[in-house]
Amino acid sequence: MIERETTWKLDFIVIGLWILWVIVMTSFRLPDWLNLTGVSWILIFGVSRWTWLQAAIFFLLIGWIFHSISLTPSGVFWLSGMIVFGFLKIAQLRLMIRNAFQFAGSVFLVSLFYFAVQLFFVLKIYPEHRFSWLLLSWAAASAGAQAILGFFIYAIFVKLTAKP
Amino acid sequence: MLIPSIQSRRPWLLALFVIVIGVELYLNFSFKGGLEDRTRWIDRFFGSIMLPAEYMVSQLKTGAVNSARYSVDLWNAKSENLRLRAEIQKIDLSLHFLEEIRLENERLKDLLGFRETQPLVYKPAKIIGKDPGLFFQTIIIDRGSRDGIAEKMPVVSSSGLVGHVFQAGTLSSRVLLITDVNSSVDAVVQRSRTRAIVGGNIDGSLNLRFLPRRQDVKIDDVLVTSGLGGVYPSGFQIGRIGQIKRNPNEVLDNATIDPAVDFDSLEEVLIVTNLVKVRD
Repeated sequence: MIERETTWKLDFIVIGLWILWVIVMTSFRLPDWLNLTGVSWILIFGVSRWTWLQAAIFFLLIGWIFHSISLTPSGVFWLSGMIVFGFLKIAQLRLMIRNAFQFAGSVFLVSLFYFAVQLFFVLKIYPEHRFSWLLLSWAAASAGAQAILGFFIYAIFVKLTAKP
Repeated sequence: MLIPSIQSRRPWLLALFVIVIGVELYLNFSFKGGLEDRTRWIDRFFGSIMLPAEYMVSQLKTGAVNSARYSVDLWNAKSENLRLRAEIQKIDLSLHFLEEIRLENERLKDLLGFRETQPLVYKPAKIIGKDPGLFFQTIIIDRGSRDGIAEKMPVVSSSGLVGHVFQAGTLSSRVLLITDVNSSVDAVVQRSRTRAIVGGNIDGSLNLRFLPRRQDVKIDDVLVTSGLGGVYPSGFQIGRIGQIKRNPNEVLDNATIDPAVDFDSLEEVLIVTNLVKVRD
């Protein structure tokens, strides 16, 4: 019982730190093409620790929180996150991150996939708007920037996901 | 059986969670109303926590940046002072001529029997944050209900129209930019007085919607707010027409707009505070 409480505590600490990161990034007013929210970090962290239900609950919570400072609909945030989470869960059966380069590469792919899925759902909500390659290039640029940062946070990721 | 422990212990909890998710997705994908109507109690709850947090972080950031800039600013103050004195003299001169024109305008208005319009009251605000989402265009400003800010108040800058307040917190508020996909502004072409709707796109660009064919609209025409539509006062510049796409097979034309306001470098805005009260 004590072990389970400790696990949840760490999850909430990580989510709290992520929220703080988002608030700081928001205050920096980065250009439109650069998004450093780091949802991919949470996804990669979560896939190594959470069950499907835990992921669904956490994503609903952070979707609501994110929606309070962004117009991104919380349902779109949740659904995009869960789709990417599902793919990562399957990929986890065959693949493993062993070093910072692999982690950065994973962050890039996860971010790009996440933004692409989110764009698909946003276009479903606003059907009068069409797909534009500009948006996908923004997604790629943001994914690249998150991957570069991911290279440096790999050490923290290893510590957080280490089994006791 | 993905989650056997919870399914066996608390099936009702799982059912409740599935219902919450279902309602969440339904609301997100089906809602067609305005942005203000879309805000739910849960958004207000998390907003009441996150907006003050955003405000505090921005205050800390501003404090740190200001203390670093202080010595540099002091060094430049003398030369800046001299330059500004010269600038004031020039402005004084042009003010004198403008005052003459204003008086002349008033006399002519009296002659024509024009009704006096309500003068707008502005409240300055600093931008402290930007939407962290990739596909949406909102900003957070450091004024809230404590400063008399309310929802639907128009937000402008010296260059033109910025947007309107759609969520007012105690210390800070969220502003929907005119470039956001949820935004639409009733506009008029300054030269020909042709009416059209200006809307934002997912990529943060602006375009003219519902522009009937064969209207007198040209590239580089200035668009201003029409004052209709219930949110924005008339006469604020929105932008210039950049490109007109005429399709012979369609009833309506399409045009892109270059915004008057440079949203990337915008730091301060003005909130029009007396229009909402006047309407109520």
